[in-house]
Amino acid sequence: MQSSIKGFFIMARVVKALILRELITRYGRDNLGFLWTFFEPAFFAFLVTLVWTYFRLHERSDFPITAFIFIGYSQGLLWRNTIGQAFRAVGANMGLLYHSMVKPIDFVLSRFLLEFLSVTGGALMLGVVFVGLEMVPLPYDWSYLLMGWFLMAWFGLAMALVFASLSVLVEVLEHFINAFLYIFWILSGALYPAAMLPPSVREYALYLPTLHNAEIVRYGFLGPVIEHYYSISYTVLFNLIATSVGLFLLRIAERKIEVE
Amino acid sequence: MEKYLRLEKVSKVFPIRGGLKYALRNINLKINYGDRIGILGRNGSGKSTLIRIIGGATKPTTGRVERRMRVSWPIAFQGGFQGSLTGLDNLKFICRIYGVDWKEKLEMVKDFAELGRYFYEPVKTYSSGMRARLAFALSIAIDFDCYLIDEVLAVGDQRFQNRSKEELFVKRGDRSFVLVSHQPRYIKEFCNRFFVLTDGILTEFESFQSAWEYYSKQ
Repeated sequence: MQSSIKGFFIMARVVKALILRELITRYGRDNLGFLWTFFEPAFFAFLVTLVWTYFRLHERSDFPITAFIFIGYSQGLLWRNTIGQAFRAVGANMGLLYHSMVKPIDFVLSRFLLEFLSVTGGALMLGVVFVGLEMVPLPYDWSYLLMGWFLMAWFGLAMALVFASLSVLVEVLEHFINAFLYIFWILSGALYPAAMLPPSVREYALYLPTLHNAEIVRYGFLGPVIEHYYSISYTVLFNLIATSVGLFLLRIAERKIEVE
Repeated sequence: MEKYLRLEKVSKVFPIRGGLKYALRNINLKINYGDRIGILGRNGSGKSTLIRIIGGATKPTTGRVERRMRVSWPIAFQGGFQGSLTGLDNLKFICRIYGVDWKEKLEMVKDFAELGRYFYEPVKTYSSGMRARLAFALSIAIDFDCYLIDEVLAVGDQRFQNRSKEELFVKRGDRSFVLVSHQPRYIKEFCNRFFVLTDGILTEFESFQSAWEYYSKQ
C-alpha cells in the first residue's frame, strides 16, 4: 500500500516534469508561445463559427448555430488533439526511458493532461468572449455540460493509450493516422446533431461514443432546443473497455520498446 | 539499512527473426555499497542490456532484481536530450524527475559543464564535446549510491577526462560503480572486482590479470 502511494507521487512528479518540458519544446520560449496553448483550439472554433455565420444560416431558423458549433467543435478537440499528440508521444521521448522512474504511460498522461488543459482553457476563453458578445447564451445545465466534457476527455485518454501503443506496435499506421483522424473527425458527431440524421442512419451513428458525448455536452450547453440522443451508460461502458484495452496494449508495447 | 543491489538468476530474452536471442543468461551478482565492479565485454556481449537491467530501465525476462540503493542512469548518456531545450531546461527536467531542487545544483553544473552562455542556449546549437560535458555534468548533479558507466568516460579532451575521473572516482570514492567496457584501461585503474561478460554469461575473476587473460582469449 505504502509503495503504491509512493509510486503515485513519483508518477505525479514525472508527469509534471514532462508537461513543463513539453510546454517549452512545443510552444517555444517566449510568453506568446504559452498563450498559444489557449488560442490555438479557440482559433479553430472561432473560424468555423464565422463561416457558418457568413452563410447566414442563423437567419433561417432559431437554432443557436454559433453555440452549437462552438461547443461541438471545442469538445471534439478533446479527443482529436489528444490522439494526435499521443501518437507521437513514445517515439519522441524514448531516450528518457533510461531514467528508471520514467514509464511510457507518463508520456501519454502528460500529453493528455496538456491537451485537456489547453482545449478546456481555450473553450473557456472563447466561451467568455462569445457570451460577452451575446453571440451564445450561458450554459443551460452545467452538470450535463461538465459530465459530457469529462466523458469526452476520458474517451480521449483511452484513445491516447490505444494510439500511443499502436504507434509502437504497428509502425505502418503512421502513414494513415492523419487520414483516419480526419475521417473520424467528420463522423464523430462534433459537427452534426444526432437529431439531423434519418432514424435508420442514427441507429448506426449511435455506436460512436463520441456522438453520445457530444450530445450530452450540447444538451448541457444548449438545453432542449432539439432532441438529443445519448446513453450515459453506453459511453461509460465504452470508456471502461477502451481504457482497459489501452492499458493492455501499452504493456505489450512496453515489451517491444525494450528490444530497441 | 544495508545498501546493496542483487541480481538473482537474471535472464533476458529478445524475440528475433526466427527465434529467441539470449542477451543475458542466469546472471547472479550482488553489488555491495562501495564495490567497484568492472565488466569486460565485447560489442554484443550483453553489456548494455546488463546496465539497463541494473539501472531499472528494463525488466529481466526471468529472475529477480533487488535494488536497495539509488542507482544512476548510465553516466553521460545523451539520449534524453531534446534539441530545442537549453542546458538549463535539461537540468530542471532531470532535477524534477529525481525530486531535487535545481537551484541548488545550478552553480555546480554550470561550473562543471563549462558551457558559458551556451548553458542558456538550445542543445541543438552545441558541439558534440559540449553535449558530452553537459550530459556528464547532469549525471553527477544527482546523488546516487551506485553509478553506471557504459564505455563513455572517454569523452571530451584530456583535461575534461581528468576532471570527470576526479569527480567520479575521487570525490565519490566511497560509492559503488559498475563500469562496463571493451577496453581494460579504466577497469584496471579503478575497479576492485573484475568480471567478463561473454554471450550473456557473467564470470567473476580473482584479479584483473586473470579476467584480462580470459577476456583476451575470447
